[in-house]
Amino acid sequence: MSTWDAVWAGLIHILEPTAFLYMMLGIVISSTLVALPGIGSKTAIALLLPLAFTLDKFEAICLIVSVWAVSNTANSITSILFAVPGGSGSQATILDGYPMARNGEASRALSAAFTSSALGGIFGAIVLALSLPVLKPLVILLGPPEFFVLILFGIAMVSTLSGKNKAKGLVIGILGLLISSVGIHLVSGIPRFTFGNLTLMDGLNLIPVTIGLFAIPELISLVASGSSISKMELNNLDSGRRQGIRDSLTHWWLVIRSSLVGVWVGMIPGLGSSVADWFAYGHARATEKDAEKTFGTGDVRGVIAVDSATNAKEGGSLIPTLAFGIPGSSTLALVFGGLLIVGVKPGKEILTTHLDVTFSFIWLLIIASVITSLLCIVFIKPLAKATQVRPTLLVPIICAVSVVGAFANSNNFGDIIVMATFGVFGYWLRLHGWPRPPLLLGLVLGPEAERHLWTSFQLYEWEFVLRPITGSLLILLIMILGWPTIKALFVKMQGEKL
Amino acid sequence: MSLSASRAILGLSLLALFTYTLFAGLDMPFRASMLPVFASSLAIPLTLLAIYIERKTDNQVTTQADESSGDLAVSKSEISADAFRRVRYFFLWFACLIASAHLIGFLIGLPLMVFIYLLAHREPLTLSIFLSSMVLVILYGGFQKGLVLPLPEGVLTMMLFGG
Repeated sequence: MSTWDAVWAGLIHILEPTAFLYMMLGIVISSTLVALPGIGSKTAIALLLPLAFTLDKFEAICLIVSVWAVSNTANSITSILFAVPGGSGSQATILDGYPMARNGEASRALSAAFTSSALGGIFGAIVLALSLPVLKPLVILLGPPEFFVLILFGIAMVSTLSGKNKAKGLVIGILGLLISSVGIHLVSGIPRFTFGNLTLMDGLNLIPVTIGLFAIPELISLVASGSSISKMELNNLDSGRRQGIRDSLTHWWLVIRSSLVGVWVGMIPGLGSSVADWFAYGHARATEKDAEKTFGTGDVRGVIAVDSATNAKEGGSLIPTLAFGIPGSSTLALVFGGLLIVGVKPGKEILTTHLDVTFSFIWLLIIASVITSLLCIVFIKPLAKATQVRPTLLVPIICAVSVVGAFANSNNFGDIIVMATFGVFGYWLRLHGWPRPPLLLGLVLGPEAERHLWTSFQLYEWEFVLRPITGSLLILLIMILGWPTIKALFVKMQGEKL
Repeated sequence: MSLSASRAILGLSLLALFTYTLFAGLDMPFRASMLPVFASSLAIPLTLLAIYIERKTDNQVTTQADESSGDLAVSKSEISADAFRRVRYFFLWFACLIASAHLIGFLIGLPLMVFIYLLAHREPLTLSIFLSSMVLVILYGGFQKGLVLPLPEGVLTMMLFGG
């Protein structure tokens, strides 16, 4: 299939009526759930995975990818209206978005955020499309040893951004790898860590683990905090929409620069949107005229920079995901797991024989971003009202759906027990600051890691770690992990000399 | 149980788990043992390091995770005595939710437990009935009919009324 054929086929796949309908469903569910208090994009995807595996491949892609691709857009609502970040990617939106809302320009800020978000999404998708010709030969060049180290690299990168105690992230990432090995080993037929339990013989399914790990602890958190996010009045939502759209278009150069920042951050596994928004804000503050005086007091450029970067990041984060099978973020690890369930395997195949699937992703990023922004601009008020729903109404309903979702995966009651167990474990981890996303990454990448490790060993024995690219990546990994310690030692030595 | 005891138990449980997986892995054939042994031997020293850093640097739960981890940090309101009381009730209700699905079936048990939760949290009766009915509609219309997922009847209802 030629590239142009793949571009066309990718578009046709998602414009099929049922696939398009699932994309719309994904957009509406994602925007609504993300706007609800305490429900993030990870919870939304976890709850939708049971539905996805009953669908046709492209319908499932449309549902899962659209939920992920647009989750940053609706996040801005709570940031701008109530100064409460809807997700880790919308923290910097507060700095100028909230002062704008207080100055009576809430609608302008929101529509500027949504428009910039759409433009950023389109930009990210274009960069992803343009990077494909470079990625294809690079991916073909890499063998099992390089892929094995890249998987370790991906887990380590996500793990190192785990707060103050980075070792915790690494431990949890490795725990994910170990959990992936539960069940009968497909090649040797040996049961591993099953304790004679039938549910465990097939291994731990991704869906109940995901729901347990991400949906249940968030619900517990809602129960523990005991109140809805906002008790504020919703004012100033009727005027200023056109001005916001005009602002984004007028500052097109800022949108492009911020989107570039977002794509760059997204390409590095582990950095994620929580960094992209601050990088973009910092860049805009340093480069825009008179920004130092006006930023932080309600300057629309601050909102534009952040929102274009957070959505452009998604296109960038798909680059390592599609090319090397290394999810660029924890949410993307969930998307990755969902894609594996429906038979889409990132890596060489998706960039060569199934290039149309890759272009479906790119089209989805573009189309879903535009539709979501339009819907958000039109339905600002109902979405804002969703933020005021009481947790007591949300918790029991989502719990009931979670139970059925875990069961739906395999019609096995044991999966509900798995979900509940991981729910409690996830809450325990969260309570004590052990990050959960690396566990999911390890679980998803575990089978691939094991396959590449074994193939590498068969080909080169343990000398595979000495191959040029593998060795360089390992050294880089050790340097990244050890840098804080090396830096501290260096500072100590300098201090002693003085 | 205090938070510091809970934290210590979590760290030590992980350490015990990795030690077990290491020894269990060593008993497996080489090919099956590669990943478990490789992962466990990395995890044990890292867990010790994580526990050491945790003890040395910070004893405050709230600062152990931050937004950069992609995980939301625990707020102070979540670790108050009142919050833990609410969480205990939630666990009890959640266990009953699963038990009721098993004993009286998904279609009766889950909406019933949703209804009980809403009433227990002093939601208006009409709203509680409406939302519980919505759960029933989602389960029956969405899952059983829409996704053709056979939701099982309860063990107890089967015993009392037959399959």
